[in-house]
Amino acid sequence: MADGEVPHPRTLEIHGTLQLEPAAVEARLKKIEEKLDARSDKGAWAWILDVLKTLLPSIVLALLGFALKDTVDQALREREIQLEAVKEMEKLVPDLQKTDLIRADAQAKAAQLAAFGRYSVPFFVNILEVGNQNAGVGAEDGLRMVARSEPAPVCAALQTVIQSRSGLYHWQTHLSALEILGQAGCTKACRDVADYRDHMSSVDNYNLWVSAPALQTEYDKVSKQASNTFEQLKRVQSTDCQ
Amino acid sequence: MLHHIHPGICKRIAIALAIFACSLAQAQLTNCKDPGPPEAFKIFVDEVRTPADSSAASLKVQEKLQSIHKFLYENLKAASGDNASVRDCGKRFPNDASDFDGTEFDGLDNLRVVLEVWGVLDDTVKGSGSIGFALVPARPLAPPAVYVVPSANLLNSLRQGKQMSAFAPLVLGIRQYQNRNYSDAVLLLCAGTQHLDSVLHGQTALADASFRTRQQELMKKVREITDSAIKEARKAPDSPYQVWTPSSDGTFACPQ
Repeated sequence: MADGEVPHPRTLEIHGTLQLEPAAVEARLKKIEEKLDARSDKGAWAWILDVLKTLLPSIVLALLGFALKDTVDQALREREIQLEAVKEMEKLVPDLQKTDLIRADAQAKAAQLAAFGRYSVPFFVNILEVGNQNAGVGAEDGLRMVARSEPAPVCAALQTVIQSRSGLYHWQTHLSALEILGQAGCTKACRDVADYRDHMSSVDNYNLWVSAPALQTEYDKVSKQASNTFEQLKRVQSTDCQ
Repeated sequence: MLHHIHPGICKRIAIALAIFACSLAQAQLTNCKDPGPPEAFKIFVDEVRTPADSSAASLKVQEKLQSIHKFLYENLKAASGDNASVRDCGKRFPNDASDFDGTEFDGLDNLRVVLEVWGVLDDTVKGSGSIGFALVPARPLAPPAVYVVPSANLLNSLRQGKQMSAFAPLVLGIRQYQNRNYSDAVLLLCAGTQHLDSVLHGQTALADASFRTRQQELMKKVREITDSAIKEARKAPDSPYQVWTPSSDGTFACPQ
């Protein structure tokens, strides 16, 4: 080949196919659009759910608060009444403890206290424990009076007395508790009474239960009362006593 | 203040007061002003009064009442020794023997009171009157266990000593027997029986048939428990009662 000679263009032959499929492209685009649409819908739900998650505890609390409001109000009112009753009873209790009080007066004072219902029960139990002779008679009468209208708090308080084995109460208080449990028909205490009767076993053993030692005659008296109370309760409702 | 509490409470108070207004005429015994230690056996000495209002009595009568009370207190102290604590109960005084009902006896028993004594000076010039005794441990043996012993001259009877305080060793003996302390019971029962016999043979007391009958009933019961106490006491080894011999019917009694 000489200088200045322009080379002839070479023919390049390409073999292949260009396949154009417009329908498939459209379909793919549509899919992408759909996905984008779906994503935008899901985003709204997620947002709602997020808000709900944040608000839920507050909503539940508000609902509970609404539901409990009445109960709390009632409890507060109850507490208020109890405190006022205690204030009133505090004035009556020293009168009941006076030395120059005859039995009938002690009973009348106890009746006034018993009018405070279940709130008077702890006072009466305390008088049984520390009170003088006539006050003790009054306290027993007071507990019987409360038991006629509200047996549950009287039964519960006296059941606690006979469950005590740690020397918290005198034998005289145990004796009174057993007597009134029977008279008030406190059938829920039946098993405790049976347990009491069965486990007293001897005066020496019994003296471990009470705050000041009992003598043989006193032990016999309490033991007899426990048996009598059990029989009384069995007569009222034998099923609780099995 | 009450109207702030509860509408039902005021109503209940009114009902309760109405119920108890009816029972105000019952037992008139106040609490003993000095009930003594809870663990000891006790003898309550109540007031000595005239049948009329004692507080309105002349100074001389008041002094007499005080003397009788003092003698009674001292006699009982001597008769009970270390076995019981004698307590001056101040203004405590029964209106009637029936004040000593079951509730009163239970209350006294729970306080470990074995005997309660009171006096009435009927004739302030002659000094006649009576001494009342409530024998707490004797209630199950010979109810109602309340005795009123008349005397032509209270001060003289008390000066003679043992007669009026016979019940003290007796009730302490009964209580010791009930507590199954048989040896201690025998000594006290024998002392009480001996003293009580002298009361039974007093002329004034004998004039009262019902008193005599009731005393004899009590003595019968006391003899029964004395026999039982001696038999039980004899079971103890080295018991001094083992040398005692029974009578022909096999019963034991206190030596005369």
